[in-house]
Amino acid sequence: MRRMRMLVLTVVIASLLVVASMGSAFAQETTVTVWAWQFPADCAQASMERFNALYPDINVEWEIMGPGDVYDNLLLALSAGEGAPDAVCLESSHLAQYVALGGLLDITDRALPYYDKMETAKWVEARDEQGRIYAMPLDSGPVAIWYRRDIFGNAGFPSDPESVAELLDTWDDFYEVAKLVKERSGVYMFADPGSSDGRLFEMLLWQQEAGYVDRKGKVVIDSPKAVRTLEWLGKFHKEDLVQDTSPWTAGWYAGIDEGGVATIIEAVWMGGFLWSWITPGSAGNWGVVPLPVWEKDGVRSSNDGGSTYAITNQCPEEKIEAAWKFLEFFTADRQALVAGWRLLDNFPSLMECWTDPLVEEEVAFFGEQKYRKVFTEAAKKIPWWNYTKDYSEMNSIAQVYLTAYNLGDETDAQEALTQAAAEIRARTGRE
Amino acid sequence: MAKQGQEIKKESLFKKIRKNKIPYLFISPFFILFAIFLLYPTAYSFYLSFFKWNGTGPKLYVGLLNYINLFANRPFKQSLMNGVIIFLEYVPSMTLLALILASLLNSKYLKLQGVFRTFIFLPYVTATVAVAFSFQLLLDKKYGLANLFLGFFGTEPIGWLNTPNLARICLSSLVTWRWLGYNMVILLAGLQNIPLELYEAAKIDGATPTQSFFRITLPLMKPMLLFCILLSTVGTFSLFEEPYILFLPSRGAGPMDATLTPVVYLYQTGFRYLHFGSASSIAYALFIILFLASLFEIKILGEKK
Amino acid sequence: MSLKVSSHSLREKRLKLRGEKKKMHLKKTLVYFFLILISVAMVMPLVWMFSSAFKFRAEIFSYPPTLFAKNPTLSSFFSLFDQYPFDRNLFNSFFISASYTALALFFCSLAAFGFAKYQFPGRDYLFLLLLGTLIVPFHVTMIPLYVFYRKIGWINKFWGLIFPGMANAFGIFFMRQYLIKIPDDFLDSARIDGCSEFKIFLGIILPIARPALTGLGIIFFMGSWNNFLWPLIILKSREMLTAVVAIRQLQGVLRVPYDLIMAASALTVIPLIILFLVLQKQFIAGITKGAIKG
Repeated sequence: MRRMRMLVLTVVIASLLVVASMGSAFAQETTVTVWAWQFPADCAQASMERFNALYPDINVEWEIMGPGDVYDNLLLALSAGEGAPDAVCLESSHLAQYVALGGLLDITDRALPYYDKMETAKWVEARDEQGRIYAMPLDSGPVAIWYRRDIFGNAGFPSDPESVAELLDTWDDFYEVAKLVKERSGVYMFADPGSSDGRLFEMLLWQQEAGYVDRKGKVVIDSPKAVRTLEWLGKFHKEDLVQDTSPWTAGWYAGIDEGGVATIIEAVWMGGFLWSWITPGSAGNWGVVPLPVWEKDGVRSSNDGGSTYAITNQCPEEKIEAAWKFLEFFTADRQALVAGWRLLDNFPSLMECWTDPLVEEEVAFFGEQKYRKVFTEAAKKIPWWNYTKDYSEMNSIAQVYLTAYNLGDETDAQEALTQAAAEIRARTGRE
Repeated sequence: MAKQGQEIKKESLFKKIRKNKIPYLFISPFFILFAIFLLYPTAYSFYLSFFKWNGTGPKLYVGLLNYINLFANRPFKQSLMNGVIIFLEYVPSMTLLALILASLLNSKYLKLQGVFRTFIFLPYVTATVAVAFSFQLLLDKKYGLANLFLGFFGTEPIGWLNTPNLARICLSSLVTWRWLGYNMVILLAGLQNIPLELYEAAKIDGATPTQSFFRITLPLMKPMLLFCILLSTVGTFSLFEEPYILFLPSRGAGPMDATLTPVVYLYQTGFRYLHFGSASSIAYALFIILFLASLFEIKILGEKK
Repeated sequence: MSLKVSSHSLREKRLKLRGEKKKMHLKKTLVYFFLILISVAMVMPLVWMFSSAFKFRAEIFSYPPTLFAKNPTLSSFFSLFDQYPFDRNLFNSFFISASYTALALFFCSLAAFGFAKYQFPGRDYLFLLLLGTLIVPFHVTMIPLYVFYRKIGWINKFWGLIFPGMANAFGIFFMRQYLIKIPDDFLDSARIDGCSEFKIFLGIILPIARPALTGLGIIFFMGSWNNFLWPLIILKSREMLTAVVAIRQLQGVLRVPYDLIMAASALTVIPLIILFLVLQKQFIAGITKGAIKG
């Protein structure tokens, strides 16, 4: 009897202790640090309350910096083995470099259930050679043409999306329209810096399933398709048909806001920038049409940017679960993604969102157009593309030769790209 | 016998050190720090320059390949070329201007020399990063003061930072702005060391001020000028923060790599693309080139006595 | 008659003199004009920086640009301290520069004292070796030092900025030039009084060398305060950055926040400008001495 009592007492005390310790474990707040730039952070903010309600013990601490700074700082922090955050937002363009460096946490088992739910292309950069997964796709960057209805109207063109899409059927049509718009209203068709950042060139290449490298990783930036594209772009620079401003600078914003350019060839996320701060004043004057094609039956879609969330390998063991919860919620929770899409055009890579009623909404800023539909359609047929781990180096090399061609220092497009290809091969050790 | 002698010698050396332990103690911190923070890294850098290494994975021995690639590929050669162009763009004119200003401030007939000296020297103490951002604003195509000023003379707005040649000129002017005062102050000190009697004697002999400038000032100032030019040479090829901030989106490379200096290239190779091996080879090649260039300058400028 | 002629020539002479004076005057005016022009060019970027710091962002990007703020505001300073730990960054700069300067002055003058005032075997060779280290540029050591710091955990630590240049050849050379002029009698009389060598250094040498220490100290302080490349590489977290590196990291949004950058720049530049204006004489003396003797 006494022994029995002792036993009960022990059990009670023990269970009390367990409960107490569990209680304290629950009460303990886990802080997950995240490096990101303003855009994804703002999108996440829209669903932060839901996240906090769902995971009251996880505290997310954002550190906001420019995307370029995220990459520079993360590279050094991973290489140093110190100073990296728990989780980080990375554009697909730069992801592969970090996967190759071995600085991200292998999340294969956790990510696998989502494999079929995401846009396939987004996994390419997230995996290493053995197929292990290191990042969760967040958003994709289907590309279309944003255009100013009023400028098209003033230049004597129709301005409704159907007619403009017809007008801009091929890239040659686009060029002819550019000449007429400039002639009739003095407005440039689009902006692209003579000292090129390479982004537009890349978009146009990916539309044609061309790019820096082919599927085997061989350098093909000197392909006929690339030469054709560069020559096409060069025409605009040589004939003063393009506004020579660098993206994301004061002059570029002013050009968009003051009606200095008729179109922007850019990915879906541009929308959020347009209405939220670049040009809220021109609401109602915008429209969206699919990309022109290079030849008959070409694809009217391409990709630019798009991001992922990853956990770094410096995330301490006890925080990995919390970091994963953060990743899972913000990349795979339909409601959170749709909220980001609505807020700033953060286009979900999670495909089930593409049937959301949001797609059918008419939006006043775009003259009551169902513009999200254009991007959803584009997203379904983005041609194969691959950034690879050498993207930032290849892009910086391409910039040099593209600029040389735009400014007339190199008059032959084939020669410019042959040189670029040779330098890329030499510096990255690719074929 | 010989062994014994050696032992005696050893003992005496040891004794010598013990006897002089105080001065050795005083100078030892320098040599300890020198070994850790200079000697070891310099040697290790040399070692690394024969490997391919991304900083974390295994090191792959590649022999001279890094050096061969350096001179076979465009960027390093271009960075050296950029250095030469930028050097020619600003060093002669800046040094001359500094000499003229120093002569003016050395003249007895002027007032307020101290005030002028303060103004001209002021840029030297300011952080380049801070000023480079103000330069960006001043040079902005649309909202910058430079184009507003030129606009008064009917010039179209110029995209200063967008074309290779202008980009280098902007960089050169930022460097001139920062270093003019420094060079002037050094040359001024040199001028003040020249005895006034020399000039008076020349004047009695009927020499014009221009003549005495070329006959007296220049020859006597040669060591100072050489010092300034040597410093500018090393400085030009090692430019980093000026191009890095002025051309921040390309991390200092500028349009068509026009402002890619050797050290900017070294930074990019090492700390943006993590090619630690080739970055080390850049560092060494630059070290040797600068060393030879300095010797060359000393020979050219120092000989004509 | 002759008197008349002489008075005539006298007038001519006077006229000529006046003409020369006028010419001289014109020359002087031109020289002043030239000097004022240069001075304005030198101060302009700083004026632009300070005036922009007091502008709203919209005014920085307005056409035509304004030299002085139309509606001066402190808002950029407030948002700077609100959104970024810039006060901490300024403190970091101050802490690093001050401790570096103090330690470097101590070790440099200690070694300089050893070289200047003692006879010991190998002295001249060691001094030559020391001067030889001057030709090794910092960037040669950058990558190995980075790898080394990684190993010993000095990434994102202030030590990594304070230690490497703490005993540097330039400082030792500079101090030796000064200390070598101190007469030995000073030291000998102190030794007779029973002072230890280290006490002589602390009690006699350092106080005598104060002018040189001030000059060298400002050079060290300035170099450390404005240092950019190395802290850019080894400092990581926002709270650990120095002010100069923090300015470069003010890039949160895609828009470059020039209002914040200008405010931060002004705050970073002011301490050194004040230091320079107060200690101008010693500063310039320090710089020129280093150059002339070097």
